[in-house]
Amino acid sequence: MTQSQEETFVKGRAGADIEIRHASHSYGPTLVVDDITFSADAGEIVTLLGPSGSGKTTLLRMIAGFVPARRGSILVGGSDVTALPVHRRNIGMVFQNYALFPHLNVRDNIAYPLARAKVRRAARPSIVAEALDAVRLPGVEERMPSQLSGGQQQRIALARAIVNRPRLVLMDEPLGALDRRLRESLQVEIVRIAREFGLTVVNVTHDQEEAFTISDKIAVLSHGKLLQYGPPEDLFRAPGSVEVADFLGESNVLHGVVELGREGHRLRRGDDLVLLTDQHVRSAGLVPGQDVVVVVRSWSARLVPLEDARTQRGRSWVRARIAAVLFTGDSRKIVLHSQQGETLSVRYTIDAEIPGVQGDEVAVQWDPSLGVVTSARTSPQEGDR
Amino acid sequence: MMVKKLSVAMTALLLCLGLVACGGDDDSAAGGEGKLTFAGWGGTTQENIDKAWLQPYAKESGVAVTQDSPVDYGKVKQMVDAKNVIWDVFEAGSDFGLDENDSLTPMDCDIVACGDFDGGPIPLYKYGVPMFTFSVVLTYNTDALTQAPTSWADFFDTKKFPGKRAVYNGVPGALQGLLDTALIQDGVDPADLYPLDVDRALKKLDSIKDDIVFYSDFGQCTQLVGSGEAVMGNCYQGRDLTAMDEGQPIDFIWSGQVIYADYLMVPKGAPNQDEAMKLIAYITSAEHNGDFAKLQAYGPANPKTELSPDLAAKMPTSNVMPGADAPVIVDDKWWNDNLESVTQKWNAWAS
Amino acid sequence: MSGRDSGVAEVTDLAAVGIRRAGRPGIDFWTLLGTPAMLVVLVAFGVPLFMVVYKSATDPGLVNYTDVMGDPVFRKSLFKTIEIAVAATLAALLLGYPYAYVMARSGRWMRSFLLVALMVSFWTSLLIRTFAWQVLLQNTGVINTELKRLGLIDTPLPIIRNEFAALVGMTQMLAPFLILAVYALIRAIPPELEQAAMGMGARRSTMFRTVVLPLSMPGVAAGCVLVFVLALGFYITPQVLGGPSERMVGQSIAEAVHAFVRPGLACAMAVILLLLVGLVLAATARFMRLSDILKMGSMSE
Repeated sequence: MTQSQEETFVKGRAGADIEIRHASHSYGPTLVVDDITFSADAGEIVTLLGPSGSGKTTLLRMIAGFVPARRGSILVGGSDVTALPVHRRNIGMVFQNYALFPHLNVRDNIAYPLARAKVRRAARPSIVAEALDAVRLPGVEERMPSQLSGGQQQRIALARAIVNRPRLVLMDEPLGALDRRLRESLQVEIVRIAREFGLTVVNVTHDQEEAFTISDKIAVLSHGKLLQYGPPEDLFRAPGSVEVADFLGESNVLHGVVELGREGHRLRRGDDLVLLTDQHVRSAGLVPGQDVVVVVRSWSARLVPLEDARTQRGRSWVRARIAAVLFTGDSRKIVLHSQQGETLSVRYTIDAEIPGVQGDEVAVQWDPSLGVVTSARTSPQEGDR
Repeated sequence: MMVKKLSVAMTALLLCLGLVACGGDDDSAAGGEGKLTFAGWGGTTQENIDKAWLQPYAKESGVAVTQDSPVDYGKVKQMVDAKNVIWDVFEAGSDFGLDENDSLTPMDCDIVACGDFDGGPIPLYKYGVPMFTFSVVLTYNTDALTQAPTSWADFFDTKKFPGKRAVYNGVPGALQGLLDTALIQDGVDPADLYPLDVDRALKKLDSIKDDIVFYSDFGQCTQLVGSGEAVMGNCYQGRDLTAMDEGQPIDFIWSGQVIYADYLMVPKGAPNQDEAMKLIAYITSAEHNGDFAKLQAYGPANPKTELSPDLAAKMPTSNVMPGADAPVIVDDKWWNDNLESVTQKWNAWAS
Repeated sequence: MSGRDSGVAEVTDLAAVGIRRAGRPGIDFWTLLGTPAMLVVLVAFGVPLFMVVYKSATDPGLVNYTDVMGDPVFRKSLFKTIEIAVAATLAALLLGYPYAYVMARSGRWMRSFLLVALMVSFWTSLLIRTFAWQVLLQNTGVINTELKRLGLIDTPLPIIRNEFAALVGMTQMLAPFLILAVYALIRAIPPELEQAAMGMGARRSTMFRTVVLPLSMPGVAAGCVLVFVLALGFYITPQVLGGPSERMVGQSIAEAVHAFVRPGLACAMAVILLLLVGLVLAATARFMRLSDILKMGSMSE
């Protein structure tokens, strides 16, 4: 490889766009990845978010090529890589346990992909140094991985994953082994480095906070199915299903039957007033008599005295009794029991005043447009629409 | 410091346990009246020794007989050297110094009926009384050979009797009398065999060397011939008889059988020497010496012992043939004196 | 490290942890736990070893050594022993390494099956296995009989009473030791290392050469040394399966003890064999720190 080619190799390439089409995989009769389709642009960070067993790791391994796609295809930069062996897919990988080679020092670890790509031996040290600069750990070339802290090791792993500017960087719970503070600072680092080098990243996590922090797009997975795919804000504002809403943050799930009242569409819930906006009715195609679910985020709901709730117009509320007020470090969580027997929760900042104490009966009130409405009987797949 | 103290304590404890265990052994073996320990080679033979002799003797005399196995000459020497002898009587071949042996107690002819053995086929030695006889015989596979061999001359005739010959090559004793047989087949008068001309014997064996299959365990011989892996072999007649009973295609000839005996010996410093002599006297008495033959085809060594005709037919000493077919008698004393040098020559030849 | 089925790896881990901690100044649980065992080892191995060396030079004297070295059969058997031990080690490595790798990297059921197969063979008496091989290999044995029946051969293949048969038997006896040593090490290599390497452009063979092989090297070294040393002491298997030319030192030692009743001579032979083992260990130590062999076990933490 000539000097200028090496330059191109190092500087010239950025991440490629990626497209997953109807990808499926099964272990025995169980579909662990079930007909998943989405795409991301070059330079985007996509997070596969879901609980364990949701198929997110299997999907990542399909993209990497460790697990074959039983059906469907995977396209990177417009070309189909489904049948391509792992070593020819040009990917960088970051693992929860760092996966640094314990018998190689930092330089040889980072130079590993360069050696595989036959970059001249003499050219490697400067490229390695550059990668170390990028992860802000210059000068540790001679150290062995075991001499570095967890956070440092993950930075080295990051440097190794990006050193040859792969078309795709795959991260499998990259921050899972680190403590909270380190996790937060590395989240920022990952975004910075990805932007700086134009990397396309597919990240797997079960931590919704991490997903929101670093992602351009989030794919929410459950039981092998893609529940919803889109930018974090969209998902947060308009979760397509109860499961998505539930997974994207603490929320309250309220069941009821649609009826047409004086105020327009609402849930039939005795004393409570759960309003459905025209937007809800239109987008979910609601008709009276239908069983639906309204999801309200704990942060979106407030507590007000019952008499105030009854007099205020245009706001939804549910009557509930305060069961506990919990201090959770950075916020306060109020746990309540509704008349219908549901357990509800409302979040307040630490310095906010809470209108009530344990045992008080209050109204949990919210702006109807902040509630998410889905049909109670729809499957997650249909809820995706 | 604590570690050190603890370690010392543990060591002391372990050593004490060790001593107690060893001491216990000594006590059980040395403990005076009515006890003795017999050591054999193990296996079926020892089981039958127990049934034929040890159990009846224990019942009759009230002596408690404990058993051990297997016999190991090195172990005997070590026990005696260390003055920690736990065997009173042990079974040994003729290859463990019968006339001169620092590790053994001489036989007490006041208790053992030494006179019975005068003029018999198996001699009694200073340090050992023969307990039973057995022989190495030319064994052949009846399926593989179209005609039966009649003498050891056929063993050396690979043209008339093509096929492999199984020959013993384990930890050596007298090599099953094979050198003696080879010399006789080479024309040496059986009376002038000793001192053995080992080189001449090996030269004679060279003529069949390409057809030799070596075996190292006595049981293998019968197995090799029985399976047809070899067509002939120098196997034990007792094992042959068992294999024939099992229906294996095996037979053997008495011509030129090499008669051996196992001996009863007493280590020097055995804890119960008198009891040991009494057990030996019992086993080798004319009255009881034949009891073993009823269980296994090893014949009595005491010439005065009488066997029923059908039993006698299977015993080496009852099948002594005349003239050229006479049994080969190995000179145990010569072998004991020359074992190492002969073994070296044999090993060099065999490997 | 997970799963109960990786007992061996766990033991290695434990040992490695123990040794590492014992290296620290001060007293801890492992030092305490290990001390009595060390003493037992000292008493149970050190004392007899000393006695063997002592006896070799005094019973009756140094003539033992001149006798031993002057015996051409012994010299020949010494070289044959080394030759067979080296060959058996190589064969155990060639067969055992892939076995260990597959066992370490396959799924739970396959791994259990391979481990059970290994253990069943491991726990079967050496004599029984030796005679089983004889039944398979001899001229009238299963292999030759079947090949003849199928008309593939007229005369039996020469697969018994030669070095080949001795090696087959010894390899089967000894490979489990190597497999377990290597298996423990490979199990300790996180599969992510292999995935990372392949993701970064290494084909499987390159990944194996650059990652798995160097990381499992201590296990290979430990296994090879173990197999080699054990092979040096073998004699029943080569005696039964091999021909008289496959005479091993162990056979001479047995002969000296049982037939000649010259323990001093046997001790001299044992000391020579022991020196050979020491030489091998010293050579191994030149290429690899012995502590590495133990350290690797804890990599999976």
